[in-house]
Amino acid sequence: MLFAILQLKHYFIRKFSFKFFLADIALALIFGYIGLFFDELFVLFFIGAILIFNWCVKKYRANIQNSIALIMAANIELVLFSLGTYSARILFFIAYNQWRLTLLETYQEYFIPISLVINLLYLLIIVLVFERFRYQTIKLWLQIEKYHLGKRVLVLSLGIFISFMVIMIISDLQSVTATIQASLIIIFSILLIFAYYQLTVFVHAIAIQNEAQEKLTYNKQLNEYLTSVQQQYTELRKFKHDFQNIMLAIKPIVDQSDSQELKDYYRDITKEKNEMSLVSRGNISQAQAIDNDLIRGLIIQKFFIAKSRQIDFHLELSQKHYQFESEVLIIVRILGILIDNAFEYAEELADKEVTCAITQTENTTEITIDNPLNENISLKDIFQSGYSTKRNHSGFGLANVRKLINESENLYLETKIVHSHFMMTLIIVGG
Amino acid sequence: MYPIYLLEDNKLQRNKYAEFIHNGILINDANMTLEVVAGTVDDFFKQYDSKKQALYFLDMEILDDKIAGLKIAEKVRQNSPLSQIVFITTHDELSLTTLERKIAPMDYILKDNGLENIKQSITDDIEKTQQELREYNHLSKNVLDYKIGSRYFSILMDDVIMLYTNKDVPGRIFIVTKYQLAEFNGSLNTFEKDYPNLFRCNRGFLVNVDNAINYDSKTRILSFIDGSTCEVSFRKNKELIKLMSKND
Repeated sequence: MLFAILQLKHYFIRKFSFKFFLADIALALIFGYIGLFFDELFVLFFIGAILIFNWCVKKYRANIQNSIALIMAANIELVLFSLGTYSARILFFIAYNQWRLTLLETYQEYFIPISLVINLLYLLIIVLVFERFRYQTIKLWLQIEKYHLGKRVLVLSLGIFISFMVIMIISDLQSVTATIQASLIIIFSILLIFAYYQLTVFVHAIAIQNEAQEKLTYNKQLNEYLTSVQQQYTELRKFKHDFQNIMLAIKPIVDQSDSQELKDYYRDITKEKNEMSLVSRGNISQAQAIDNDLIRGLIIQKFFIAKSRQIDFHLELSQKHYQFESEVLIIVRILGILIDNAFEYAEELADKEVTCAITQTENTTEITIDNPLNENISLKDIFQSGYSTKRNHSGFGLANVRKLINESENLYLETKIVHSHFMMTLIIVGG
Repeated sequence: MYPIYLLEDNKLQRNKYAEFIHNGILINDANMTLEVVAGTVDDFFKQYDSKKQALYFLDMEILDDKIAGLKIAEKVRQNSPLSQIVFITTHDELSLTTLERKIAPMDYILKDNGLENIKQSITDDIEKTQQELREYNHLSKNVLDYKIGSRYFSILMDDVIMLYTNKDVPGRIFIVTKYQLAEFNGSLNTFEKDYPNLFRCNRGFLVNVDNAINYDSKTRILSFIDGSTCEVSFRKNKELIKLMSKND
């Protein structure tokens, strides 16, 4: 019995450090001595005492992990101890070929050490198995901490532990422990495994829920940010418009003037004006007008990709709201391919510019992806699977687009070359 | 006399542009006249004749309406699809791709580039319009119309190469022109009836013989200016040979 507690503590220590090793042995001895008078109840006392001790010492108060580890260790050890005893029993029965419980009492002095050794063996096996799943366990634990589920897990494991103890004590009082030990072991193990399984599922569910929540907040923040950028942009644009008209209006006066200084000054301002026109470039805040999260998300994502590849990704969204109701997933896939193609082509040009324009009337939406063109493309070839303007590219994108559109009744594709621009338009009818 | 319209809210600029247009007409010796000069949208519509085809120079932003020019252009396109529309605008007011989709203007003139540039562009556009008018007097001004959802599309018949169907996508017609590929729902039979100048060379193809370059009557393969080809059914072989020789 003393060793059982010692092992229990060892298991407990494994999760922390070996610094408490000696203290644990002393503790185990003391409680083991008390245990001599109380039979199996001592485990309950032992755990209870340590728990109370933990909660009394302020340092440990916040550390629910300690308590959970302790209780879980006690749970596992209880099962293992029973299993060890039972295995030893079977060994003895086989060795003496006598299937009577009284046999154990006769050879008690051999039986107990052997059952403890077997118990130790099982413990080693369990530790080795846990070692293999260590990464998952740590991950699970981190998630538990992240979502502040410690208390619930503590209550869960404590509940299991107490029910174990109650069953053990009752069976001891009825003096049937030895008889029903096999079923006890099975029930305990099943309970433990299910508890662990439930815990993982529960934590996973909570994690998913939290993620969704975070995404929602993120989207909201992004929208707020986009609104403020849009406002600033509108102000700036207004100013620019006035400024340009003023500049144009005073041009004749400057031309007529004799002052060279004034002329130079005018020229300088005109130069700066060109730089200013860059300000409005790539105004992503317009994306806010798209009422669909998926499509807006795609466009914002592509915008940042464009930025990292030094491509000027222009949006032309002049309406306040764009609604997308049907076939959003197909639209996202097609748009993704069209934009990627445009990026790939534009990347090779001096004029790295790609435009995405959306127009929407009653029930017809047109999304156009536009990139400049500096060579002759054969319109009739581009949908051939394997066709690509890039030599090292497989070019299955457009063939896939064609396939996706063929499968849907409401989508139409238009490909156009105009003013040396290449424009691909996806037309969506109905929403 | 072919009419020219001008819309610009800034008085100083309006007078300048009017002067440039008069100049352009003189230089090109064009049979045109600057019929309407307007400063507001209302003013424009008071003098607007929806029945006549014309050349339009439009400013995009009129007073506080950022897309007044676009709205007018849409109306003009609806009334007379073949009108020439030119936008005079500052660079960042310009949504090139959207404009191209909705209006397909003949030209964009950027105010940012200075008056000298604007003058040159106006003169060029007048010349271009004059040329187009001369050419279209000989050709059919026919356009092919189709509809997707609530949107109407027109394509110049001279640009049309072929319409065809694909048995994988029933009910859909694919159209190939010199500059674009498109698709819409419909049946080739209707188009064959509505546009008698198109030739039904087999069940799935309706082609514009004007844009064909070669016909091999042995293999019965008809090829077009864009490099695409189509097979001609045995029944239509003779008819096509007759048609091709007439065209030559």
